[in-house]
Amino acid sequence: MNIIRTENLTHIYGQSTPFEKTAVDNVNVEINEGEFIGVIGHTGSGKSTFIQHLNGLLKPTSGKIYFKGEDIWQKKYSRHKLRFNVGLVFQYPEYQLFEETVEKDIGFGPHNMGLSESEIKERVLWAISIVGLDESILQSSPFDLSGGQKRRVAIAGILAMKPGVLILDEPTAGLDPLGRDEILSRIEAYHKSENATVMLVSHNMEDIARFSDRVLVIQNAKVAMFDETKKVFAHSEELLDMGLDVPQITGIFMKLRKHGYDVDTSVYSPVGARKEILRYMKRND
Amino acid sequence: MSIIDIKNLSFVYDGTDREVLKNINLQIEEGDFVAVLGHNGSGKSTLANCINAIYEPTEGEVLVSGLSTKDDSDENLLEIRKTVGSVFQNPDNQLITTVVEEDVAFALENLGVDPVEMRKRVDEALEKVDMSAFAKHATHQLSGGQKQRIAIAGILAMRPRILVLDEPTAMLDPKGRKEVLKVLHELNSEGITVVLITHYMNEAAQAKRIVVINEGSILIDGTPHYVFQNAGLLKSVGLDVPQSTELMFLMREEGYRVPLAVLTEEECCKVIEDLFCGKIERQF
Amino acid sequence: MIKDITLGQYFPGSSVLHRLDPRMKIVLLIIYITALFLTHSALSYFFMALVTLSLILLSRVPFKLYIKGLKPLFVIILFTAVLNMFYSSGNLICEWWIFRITDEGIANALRMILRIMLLVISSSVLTYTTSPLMLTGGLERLLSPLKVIKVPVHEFSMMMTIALRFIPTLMEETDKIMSAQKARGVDFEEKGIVKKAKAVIPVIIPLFVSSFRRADELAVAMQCRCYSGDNKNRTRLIQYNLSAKDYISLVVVCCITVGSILLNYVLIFGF
Repeated sequence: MNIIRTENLTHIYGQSTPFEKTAVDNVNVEINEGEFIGVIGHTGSGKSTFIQHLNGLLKPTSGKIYFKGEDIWQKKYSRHKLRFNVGLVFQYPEYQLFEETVEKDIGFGPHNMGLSESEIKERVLWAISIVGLDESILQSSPFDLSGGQKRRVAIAGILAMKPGVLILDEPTAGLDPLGRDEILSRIEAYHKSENATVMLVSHNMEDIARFSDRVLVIQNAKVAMFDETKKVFAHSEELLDMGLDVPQITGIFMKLRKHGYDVDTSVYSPVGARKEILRYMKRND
Repeated sequence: MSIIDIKNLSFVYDGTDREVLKNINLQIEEGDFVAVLGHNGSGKSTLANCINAIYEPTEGEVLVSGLSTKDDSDENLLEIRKTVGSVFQNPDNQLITTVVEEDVAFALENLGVDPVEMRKRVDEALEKVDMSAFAKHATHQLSGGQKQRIAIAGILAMRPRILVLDEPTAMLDPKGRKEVLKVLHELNSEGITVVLITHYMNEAAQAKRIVVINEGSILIDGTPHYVFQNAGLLKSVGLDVPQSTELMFLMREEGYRVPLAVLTEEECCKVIEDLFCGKIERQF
Repeated sequence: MIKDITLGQYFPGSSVLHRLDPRMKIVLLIIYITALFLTHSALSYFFMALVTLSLILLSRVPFKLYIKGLKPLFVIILFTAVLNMFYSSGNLICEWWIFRITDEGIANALRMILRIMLLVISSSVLTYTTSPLMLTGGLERLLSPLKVIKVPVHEFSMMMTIALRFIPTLMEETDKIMSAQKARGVDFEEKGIVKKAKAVIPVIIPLFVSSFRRADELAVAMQCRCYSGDNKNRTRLIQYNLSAKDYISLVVVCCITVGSILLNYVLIFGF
């Protein structure tokens, strides 16, 4: 069953001014419950504007967004409550930290939900364990933490609302490989344990390839592709034409194909590449 | 003589007792392109700030084309700043004025360069970062990659011999990252020494030399091919290797005697072709 | 969106007024405003209105932008006009309760309306045709003699420059932080002062934290580009050179001023 569906979703900035710009153009997508979706598109493609519609932060110029079958812009629909169900982690989320202690900051969302003190406490403890931080930092100031820790506290602040849908805009930007892996594996753990729907926006194709069930490619405000990960990376030429990267391995296999070897170009990981090399060698023995 | 000569450098932040840098010895030759790799908190940014004289060494000495960063007289610091140009992570926080060309001119205005000469140098710097068409544009309307190139131009206008860049691409998208890297390689080919602090493996792989910093000490130092052969060591300190290198390790596990440090798509493609043609022997 | 608001009133162009030296433009505006305050007679006002109209045409900035600039001042203009209307002597025209309207009162009110409108329009001519950077640069140079009596002119101008540079950045950032806090359930539309104030805290604090960080990083970046405050050797990229057109415009504006003063003595129907 789909959890989020958009219907002819269109967003135009500065309508009827000289600065008019269509950021989302007639987008129709269906996202199923429990899916892990990768979202790619270069800067300015409209992907950030698109995801801000899914929790009702931006109002579409035209078109509709349905959450669990309900139009989120119909009269009397509470978009305030929607935001607790569709958690959105912005780029550099550590810039939103403001409370005196980590505990209060993570508890800010649950507090706004109107939960009781004991429930908030429970949620905070749960969220901090999900992002893999120690309870001992709960009483410290969020501003005293390291960059990677701040990022994780900020993500915990969204997770504490236990959103059924979690959308993350480049959650690993600026982190080193260790921090990146740590955060992504935590997000995957949340996805698996809560059967949560996750949408991951990233420029890092290797990360997208590693985690996503399906990949949504946005180009010039439109949906350019929306398909299973393997099928999307099989169109690597098109991705490159759009100015996007492909995983290094995919690039290597595209080169091999150009050199006349009949290999599968939809591989994107070193493990997949080994399999494909061995398969090719066996067949041509 | 090395253009950068770091001798027994140790660094402790005021009011703390943790040694962020421990007894570093490093010589960098003029015209080199050195990538300094390390995870967040490894001390690599501190090292950059010691080279450009923002920090004074707690112990040891840093010599930049013979000038010691310990001498904090205004003349000496000015001379160092003209020799070592610094570029930082956040492009927004390096641009000072609203118009591109005035921003590029900022350092020259401070140095009191003659306006006619200044105009020449500003145009030349913008040309080098391929931003001449944007001279009259507003700085805040540029993309991240463009802003960072303007920041580089603002430094180039001083005609430094060394560029020290502290994670200049961390906040950029892939396109911006490529633009900046391209500029750095062009500058290097013109003879400018580049010290690039980064944690992107593919950027480091393009350098002439890689210095890996971990917990304030130098872990490995050598050519990219040499450094990436030690994939296990790199991974143990939280660093990555390119996917191609990883694939080579997997093929070794299968018993094929493939070379280990394979960095680029071309190199890797070549090795796989050799595999297909049976040119690479199998051990088991 | 907040970032859609255009800042500074600058309207890029290449008209004669755009190309005048910013220092000269500031001086000319001061002379012009003085003339405006010396204006009395109806004919003189008519003359000044004509001059202002030609300035608008010369600037090649769309007329409606000037009207837009006047709109927010509408209430103030009306208020001053009404005040002037009632507090005047002269021949009584009509009277109601404590209000007396005199012929001179009406004339005063009209003068006031015209004067404020012309004042606003002529200042807009300056801001529309001069980029903020040129304006601060021009002001710095005009005021530089004050350095002798230890007025930190350079520092003020530097602060202005940095403020102009960072206002759009901070606006964008405010926008982002507000969205991020909305996503955590902050409701900025809530009624009541206490609730409103509470909703502001999650925006203000991160904004402060980030501004301090920016200030810190900017200071280092400036230091790395050899900034050392106002040293005597400092030169500027943009050179201001007074050309023939600047001197001609000075002469023209002076003539206008003298003209408007002389026209004060030519009365029509006694005004």
